[in-house]
Amino acid sequence: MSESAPTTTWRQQISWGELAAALVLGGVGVAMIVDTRSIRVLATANAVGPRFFPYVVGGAAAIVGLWLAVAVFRGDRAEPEASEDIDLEQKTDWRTLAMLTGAFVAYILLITPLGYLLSTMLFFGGTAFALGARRPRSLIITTLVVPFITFMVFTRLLGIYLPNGVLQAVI
Amino acid sequence: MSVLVGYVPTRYGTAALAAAVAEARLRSTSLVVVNASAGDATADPNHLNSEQLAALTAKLAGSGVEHTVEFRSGRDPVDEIVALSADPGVELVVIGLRHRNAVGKLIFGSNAQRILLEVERPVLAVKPGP
Amino acid sequence: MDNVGFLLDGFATALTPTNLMFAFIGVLLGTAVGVLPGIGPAMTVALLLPVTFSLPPTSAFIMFAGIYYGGMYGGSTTSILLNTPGEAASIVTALEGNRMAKAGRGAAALATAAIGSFVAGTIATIALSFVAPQVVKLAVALGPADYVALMVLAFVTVAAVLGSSIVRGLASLSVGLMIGLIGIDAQTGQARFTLGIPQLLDGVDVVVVAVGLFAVGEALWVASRLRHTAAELIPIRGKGMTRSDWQRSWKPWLRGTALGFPFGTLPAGGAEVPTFLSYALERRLSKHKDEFGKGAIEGVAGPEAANNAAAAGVLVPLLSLGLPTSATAAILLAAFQQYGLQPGPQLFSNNSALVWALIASLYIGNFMLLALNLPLAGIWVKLLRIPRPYLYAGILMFAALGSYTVNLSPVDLALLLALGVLGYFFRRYGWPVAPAIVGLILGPVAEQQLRRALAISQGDTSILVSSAFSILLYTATALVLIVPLVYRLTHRSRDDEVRPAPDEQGSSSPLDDDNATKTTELNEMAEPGVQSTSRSVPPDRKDSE
Repeated sequence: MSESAPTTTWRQQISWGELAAALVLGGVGVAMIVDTRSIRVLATANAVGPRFFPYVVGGAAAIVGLWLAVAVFRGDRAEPEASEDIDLEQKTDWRTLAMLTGAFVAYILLITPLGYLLSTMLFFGGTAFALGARRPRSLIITTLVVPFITFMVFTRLLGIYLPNGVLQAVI
Repeated sequence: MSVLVGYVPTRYGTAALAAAVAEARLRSTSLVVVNASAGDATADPNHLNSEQLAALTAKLAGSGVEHTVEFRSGRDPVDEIVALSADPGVELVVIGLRHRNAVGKLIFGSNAQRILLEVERPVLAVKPGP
Repeated sequence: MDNVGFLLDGFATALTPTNLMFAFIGVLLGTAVGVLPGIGPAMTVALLLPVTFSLPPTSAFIMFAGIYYGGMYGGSTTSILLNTPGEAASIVTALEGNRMAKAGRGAAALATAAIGSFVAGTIATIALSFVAPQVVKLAVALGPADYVALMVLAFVTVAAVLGSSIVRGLASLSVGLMIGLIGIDAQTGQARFTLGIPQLLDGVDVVVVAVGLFAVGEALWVASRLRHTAAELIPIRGKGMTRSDWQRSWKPWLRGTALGFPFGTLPAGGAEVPTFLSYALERRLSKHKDEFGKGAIEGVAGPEAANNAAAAGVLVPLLSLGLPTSATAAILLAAFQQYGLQPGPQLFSNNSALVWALIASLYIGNFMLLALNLPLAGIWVKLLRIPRPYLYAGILMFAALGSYTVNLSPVDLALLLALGVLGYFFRRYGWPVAPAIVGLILGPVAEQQLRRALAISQGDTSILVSSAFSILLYTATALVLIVPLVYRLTHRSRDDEVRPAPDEQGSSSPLDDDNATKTTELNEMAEPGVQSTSRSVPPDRKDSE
């Protein structure tokens, strides 16, 4: 939709990722409407049943998704969120993201067998490493200390139960 | 040929700078001042702010020695200094020495020790006066 | 005026050692998270929701309120001393505050911000103490249909006013609404959208969503574009406020409060609008106009006061109507829900001790915050030295902890990750997160009221627009949606270029004609730390092997 002569084609300026997101939103909205039909409605005549609101919300999501998709397709973009710790000039660092996600998935899988304390140490260390902590000394010490203190504060001080898997007998 | 000094806005850095200036004058070479920050925190006291930079520039201008100031960010400062000192033009590396007791060294490590061991040039470790 | 009596009773409860301790912990935490990037009061309260199972409600809410107010104080410290402020409402403070700090008058800027926040917070809390009961009296006359209208207005204003793009706000809202629908329908016992996963029968826990969208989403986003340089921290100089500073500050404090509180009470999306307005107003009224842009103290005093007053104002609809008008308010509402409490007229009649103790502790909190922030600002900024890897690892750890303690189930952690990824995409595409939280928490309430209204009318939808009040609200909702769109369309036809680049829709907020100058200044401030001269950065800057 650019009127002033663009040197880059306007196709390059469309955020394809966001377009996909908008379409997903619209799609989920439609899916919601479809899925609502499988909700069983009790036979009370007066009251508005459990289907009404989902229809409204699903419909709204579908409309908004479409509206956004059109806007994005026409080149509309919003500012990504800025913060003191973000450098918007950089391209997305997929490696770090992948490492973080990996650490998270490992955490999900290990938290029950290994127990809270051990798995959290691995998680903390893994995420810190993924985010750039490289000095071995600081890394090891912080990874041991911080989750330990957290665990102690929450279980002893605040009285919240955190199953500890293999270490259950010890700590 | 040049003298390389690692500078932070503390008395250790100031002492190192003074010694580095003296050395550069003695050897009639230029001075390379490096301010390296790991860049991994939102605020870093070793990173020069505009006030400190102005003070540094003024001091260097008055020293009468040919100099450049380099800023580095994003890497461990020790690695940065080691990398810069690998340049064959560097004839001396000057750092400020800060005394850490054994426990401190255990917990925080010693940058000076790493530089002394890893840099392949002569290293001058300066202690600030009393 | 038995309210005063209630308030005094509230003080009696709030001044017990236990509650004082909780207030102190709250303001301490609040200031800390206000200073630190990456976390905020909303997320912190969400993280602490599970902890409250072991705490009595009064103490828990006193702590939450402390966190809420504290976040505001901490935020102003960072925005003055750091080159790149994070929160929107703090950007305005940074305009003048930053310049003052650079000019060597940081101490005065901090002082006027802290004292102004205290003055505004106290006055606004007094106003809250009197206005909330009045609203409660009016609220008794409201029926479910009116509540529906109120909530629709709240939904739309949160989506339309926060952030720069209405459609994205609505997108975020619909995501929140959809997630809120997952689970068993309370009224008919039907499972909805549970995708065959038994853990979803109870719905997706508020904590998991809030923490996932806020904490994990933020961590993932930061991880994807981690800054590898430190931002410039301006040292605190100067001796504090001079006599002329005081003279120039006190009226902006009062004006800021007067602007902030009403805006806070309206479903108009929180603190951004009044802080901008306050800035514009102070600039117009100032006798030192030329100083604006170079460090005019009025430009700090007014907006800071407006910010804090608005925060207190937000508590009015929350406590008296159960209507949250910001993300933090929504999470506070969720906290009430966790305790089985329903804010609104019932809260004031059934749990008046709790409410008044809460209000009383706000006064106390303000005092504590003044004492904590004025002398100790220099210490708070040292928190910014925490290396980002450990900071965000810690945030993630607490996020996981908070979600795990809900059910002790790794499924919640998986949900947390999924929501975190969602939060990442929100931030990447500039979708505001707050509407999702409001939609999530308020959606089920809205549905309940809707069905109640339609049950009363036997299915006749005209009941929704039958009272004058609801008609008024729907008109307001329509205006909130239509006016900015019209404004943008007419402005676009005036300038010929249509730029697909980062939009300037920030300037389409319904403000005065000072927009042009303000936008440029805002863009300057919003630019991630442009650093000083002689940068020679090695090419492998991004890798930290």
